[in-house]
Amino acid sequence: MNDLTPFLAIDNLTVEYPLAGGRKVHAVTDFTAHVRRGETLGLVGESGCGKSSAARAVMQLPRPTGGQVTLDGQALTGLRGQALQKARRRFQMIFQDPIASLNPRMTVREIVSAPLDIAGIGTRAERDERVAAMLEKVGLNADQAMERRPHEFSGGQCQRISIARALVLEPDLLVCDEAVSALDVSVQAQVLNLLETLKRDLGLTMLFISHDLAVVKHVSDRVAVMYLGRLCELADAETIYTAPRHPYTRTLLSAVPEPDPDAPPRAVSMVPGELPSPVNPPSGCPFRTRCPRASDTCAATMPPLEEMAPGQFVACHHPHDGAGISA
Amino acid sequence: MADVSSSNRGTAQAKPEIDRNALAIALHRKSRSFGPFFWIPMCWLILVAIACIFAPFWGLPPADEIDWAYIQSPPVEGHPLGTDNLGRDMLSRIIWGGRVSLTVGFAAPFIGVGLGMILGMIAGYYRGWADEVIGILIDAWLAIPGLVVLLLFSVVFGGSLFMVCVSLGLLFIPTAARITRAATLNYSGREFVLAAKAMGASDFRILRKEIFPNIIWPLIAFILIDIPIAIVIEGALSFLGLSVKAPTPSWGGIIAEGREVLETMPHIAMYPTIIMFLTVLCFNLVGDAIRRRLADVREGAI
Amino acid sequence: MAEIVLDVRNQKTSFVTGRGMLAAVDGVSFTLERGKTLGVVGESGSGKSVLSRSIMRLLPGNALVPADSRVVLNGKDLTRLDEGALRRLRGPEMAIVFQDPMTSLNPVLTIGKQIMEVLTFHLGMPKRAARVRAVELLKAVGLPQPDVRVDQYPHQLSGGMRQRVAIAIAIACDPDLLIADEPTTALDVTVQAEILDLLQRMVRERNMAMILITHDMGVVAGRCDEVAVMYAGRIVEQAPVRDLFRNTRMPYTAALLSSIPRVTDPPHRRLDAIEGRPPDLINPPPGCPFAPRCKLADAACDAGVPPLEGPGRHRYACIRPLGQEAAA
Repeated sequence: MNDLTPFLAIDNLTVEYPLAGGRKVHAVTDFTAHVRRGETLGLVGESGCGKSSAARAVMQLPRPTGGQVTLDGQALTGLRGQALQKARRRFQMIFQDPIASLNPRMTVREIVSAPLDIAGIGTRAERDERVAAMLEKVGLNADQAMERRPHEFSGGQCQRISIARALVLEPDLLVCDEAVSALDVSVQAQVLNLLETLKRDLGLTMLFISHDLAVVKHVSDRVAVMYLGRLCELADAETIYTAPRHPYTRTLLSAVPEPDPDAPPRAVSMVPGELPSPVNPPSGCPFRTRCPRASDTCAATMPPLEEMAPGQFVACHHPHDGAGISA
Repeated sequence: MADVSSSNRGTAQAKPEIDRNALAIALHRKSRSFGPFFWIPMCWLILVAIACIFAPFWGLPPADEIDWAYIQSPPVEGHPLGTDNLGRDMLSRIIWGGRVSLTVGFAAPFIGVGLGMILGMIAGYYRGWADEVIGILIDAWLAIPGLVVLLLFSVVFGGSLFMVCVSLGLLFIPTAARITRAATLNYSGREFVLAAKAMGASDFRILRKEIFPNIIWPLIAFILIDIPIAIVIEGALSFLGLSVKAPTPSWGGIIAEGREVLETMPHIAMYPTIIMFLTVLCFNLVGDAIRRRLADVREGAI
Repeated sequence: MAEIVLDVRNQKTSFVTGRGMLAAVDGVSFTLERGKTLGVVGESGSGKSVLSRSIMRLLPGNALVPADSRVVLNGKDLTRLDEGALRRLRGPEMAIVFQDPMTSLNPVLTIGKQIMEVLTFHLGMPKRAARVRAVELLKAVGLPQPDVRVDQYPHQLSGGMRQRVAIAIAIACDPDLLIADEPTTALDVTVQAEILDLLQRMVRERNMAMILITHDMGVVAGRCDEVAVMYAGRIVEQAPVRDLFRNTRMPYTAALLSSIPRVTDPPHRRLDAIEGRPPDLINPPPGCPFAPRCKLADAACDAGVPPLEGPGRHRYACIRPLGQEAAA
């Protein structure tokens, strides 16, 4: 396996939703990121930044408006009908709401065996065996869980069922869309640890979407920061937290409340105001309306994504010098 | 001092700990159980249903057999509810007439809800042009007065029981389709449907396995409302002579015949009226009780 | 000696369910002084939101509160007041900000009308004066262009702006007690920081007492004077904020703190998850509610519910507290 060829290549991804009157929501604009096999790419940003739209576009749910998604050399964006249904076995997804993502009318056996059933794999007995093994793997007691329905389980357990369903077909790519955001911290820690273990044991490649920077840092090898549909900064997990260059990354980091009463209060360096509408994004750099460093250049042209340090890609006309964060 | 004012509540709480849970469970059960307003009507409906379904086995005189000895007779031996103006046994006619009413009462909502559900699921799931077309069709259908449809069917297909059911069923389609569309729209946006799509499930599988089991409950509730409505409309049609043809008895038809001799022989119109009134009332009461329980089912509690 | 605004004594709130009596809040006592902020932290089901509604007396019909529970606000026992008297207190003496401003604001009234309603009802202000005051309040909570926004509807505002409006309504009559129930959970981090700053400023400027309810240890760390940690309907540890974080005694608090992912951690650090799940509140364990999940628990922990006690203002409900070796 060549380490240089990306396992998942997202190139110039664009997602637009039509509105009445010919206007469009620009959910994702020209997003490019490559993920190596076995790597976890974290995708962070605030609500409305397009991270979930990007995840769904990778899943082809629905197909993106423009750009290419390539998984292990196979262009997913080019697949149609049966071919796409068949390819779906290789990439699966976990959703935010652990309860809403399970059909309340089905038993856990039906839920977890559905992917096998759809793919037409094995006899009923064989499928049950695989389902049981998968449930044990995600930390549930298969004998007790199989015939129950989702409402009998807690949120954390429901998320384990979701993970079992996503992994029962042994996919290569797992997309987690805010997979732990709805869980309590102690349960969140259990699920995060489980995801890390499963990723190592099954050799998964992951795309991990979250609004929580601390959670993303825990699971990711590299992190991409998005704002208003565009990629701001992409770097390895350590660099992006210790030496961020994009002003938005810094803003985001300084706003995270630290569970430490002695942590120095950090001023959130952002021009007061509101998030611009994705229907009518600002010209040039999308962050310029709230950026303390914005200049006329920022309004004129969108800064290109440049490699400013090895492995650190930043789209900014006036980046920080890469020194550590301080107040 | 302070405790005196709240002594009432204090004693209510002073029960031993073990009793507390038992008490709470009992209280909760009571608030959810079916009361006498469910069970008494239910008994009546079961009685009516058994009487009608097994009508041939009661040894009743045929509904169209004329007993020349008793014409327009009040209840006598052999004719517990008397006879009508042609000397036919009232009890037999009411029971055989009930078969027509109940058949229409059940078949029409099922036909209407069945067709409406298919349209509503297509509109709600695919949206886009399918939704538009179905929406326009339903609006157009609603623009035609229901009575015109019923009259048209009775003129064209004249008195066939099946066609009475179909024509009534057609009237239930728009509401059923709208309820289904709204429910489908709600569920097809849920993450478990998205998860099924991500697994590569076909649209048919998603509609059948993911959406249908979730939307069936509001539709069952809707059928429960429609049954008594269908019985009443069928009664009205029979009364006007637009339902099944003359020798076949039906509740509305018997009432219409009794109307002619209302002053001399009021029992002829009265008995079927009372039975129909009780049956429709009971269907409504039972339906309401079940719908209240279905609300719990829909929340996933059962 | 600072003035005590709120005194909650042995508050118990239970709900009647199909499986039995669910004790959502099970004997909570604390006092709160003017100008102070108490953070209440807990996971879902810990009873923190039911506690806030018990204080406000905004409980649903199937809730049961025993007669010996007391909520004393400014010397008035709220458990003795009828609904009318309570309504007159909600606003001038106590107010609440909910998690989701979209559902707590009325969608068909302009935000100005909603603030004016409170002002005319409680303070008897004439309409014109109320409107002027509404604009002032919106300005005080940092809403941009308050004179334009006052005539807008909630759906025309962003989530952060709606929460500012909800805060403006809550402080309209200068309450002595403000309860903020997960006020920033539905908001983005950058907006969260702004809203928390705003709440802190309001408490200081208006000399209120605030209860800040949250599931996020990070939120209470920088914003509260004292923190109470709730578990299974009880306060299991309560201390001045630095003591709680630096000198944690209750194993549950410690476990909760170490299960939080932090931005300062190296990537892929394995989190110390708390295994198991919270107890069933209908059939709670006989002893300490955390004992079944606690690494330090022994047979004595199952013997009885430990009382919340300790030296000074640092109280904890544990018979095997952390840090005792050092003290000995």
